[in-house]
Amino acid sequence: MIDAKAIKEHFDGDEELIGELTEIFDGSYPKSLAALAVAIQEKDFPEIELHAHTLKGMISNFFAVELKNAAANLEKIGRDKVDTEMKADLIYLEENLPKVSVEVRKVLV
Amino acid sequence: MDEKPNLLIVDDDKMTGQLLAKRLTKLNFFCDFTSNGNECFNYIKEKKYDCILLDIVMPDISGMEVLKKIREEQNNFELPVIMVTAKDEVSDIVEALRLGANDYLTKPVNMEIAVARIVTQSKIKKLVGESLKNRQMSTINTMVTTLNHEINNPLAIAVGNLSFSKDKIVPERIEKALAALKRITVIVKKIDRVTKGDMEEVEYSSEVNMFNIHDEEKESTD
Repeated sequence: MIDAKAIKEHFDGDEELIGELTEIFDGSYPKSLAALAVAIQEKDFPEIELHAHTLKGMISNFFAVELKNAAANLEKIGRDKVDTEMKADLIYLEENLPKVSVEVRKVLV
Repeated sequence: MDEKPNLLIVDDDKMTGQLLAKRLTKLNFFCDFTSNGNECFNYIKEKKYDCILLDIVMPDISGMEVLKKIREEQNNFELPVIMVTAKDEVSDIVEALRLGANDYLTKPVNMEIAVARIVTQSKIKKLVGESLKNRQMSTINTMVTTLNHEINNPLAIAVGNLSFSKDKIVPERIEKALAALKRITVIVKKIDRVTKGDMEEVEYSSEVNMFNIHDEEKESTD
């Protein structure tokens, strides 16, 4: 799910920083994810765009392409205000975001 | 750069903002961070920054609105702003540049590119500031030289009339000498204001400002 090589390259192999990043991520994404879920439930498109955009930014640090795409899809739906299927991408994010830090820690020495 | 650049990072995503601040601090930048777009104006009032790294998409107030407000007070040489965004739409970047952003970075931020762009903008800011200061000094020097020349005439009048009055007091000549000395006093006050930089800049034409050094007191003539 994550691109370990790209992460290490991007952060110049600074594993301490990567570890800190992961901790901050674990503490940050749940709030945005919960807000996104509420926004989708209420079909609040500006809020969908905002929270999906925030998640996309956080995810981009881990070079997790499919997760980023899921967030980007929702961001686009929010921006275009198109009432279309959003649950699949939301579920994908809910199931896989918790796995990011687990995978990152596996690749750190 | 000799001095460590002062940066302000504005991003509602605390993770991204704090991470960027950490990485830049490790590279010897001074970094402040706020996740609130409205709060950044207080930071800018309190401290002189060399560059601001500004997210585009934020709740409450967008990066574009923050940028517009900053540009109402400071131009892009006075306070460089680099937009930092996960947005990859060309139109958003173009809009930001049109509103006065100096440059942009996309997330995830490549530190080499970020440092290069921050340092470039900070150097330009410094160079423009120095150039303006040099122009001001040059203008002030020219003004002081001109005013010094202006003193010669009334000085000659004062000396001439007082010399004439050495042997015999001629009230009219004393009056002329006094008027000339008063004129010198006014000019000396102007020189004092110019050298202290105590001048109001007023618009002369749509492209040119001038320094207003006229006193409120009526300037006497001989």
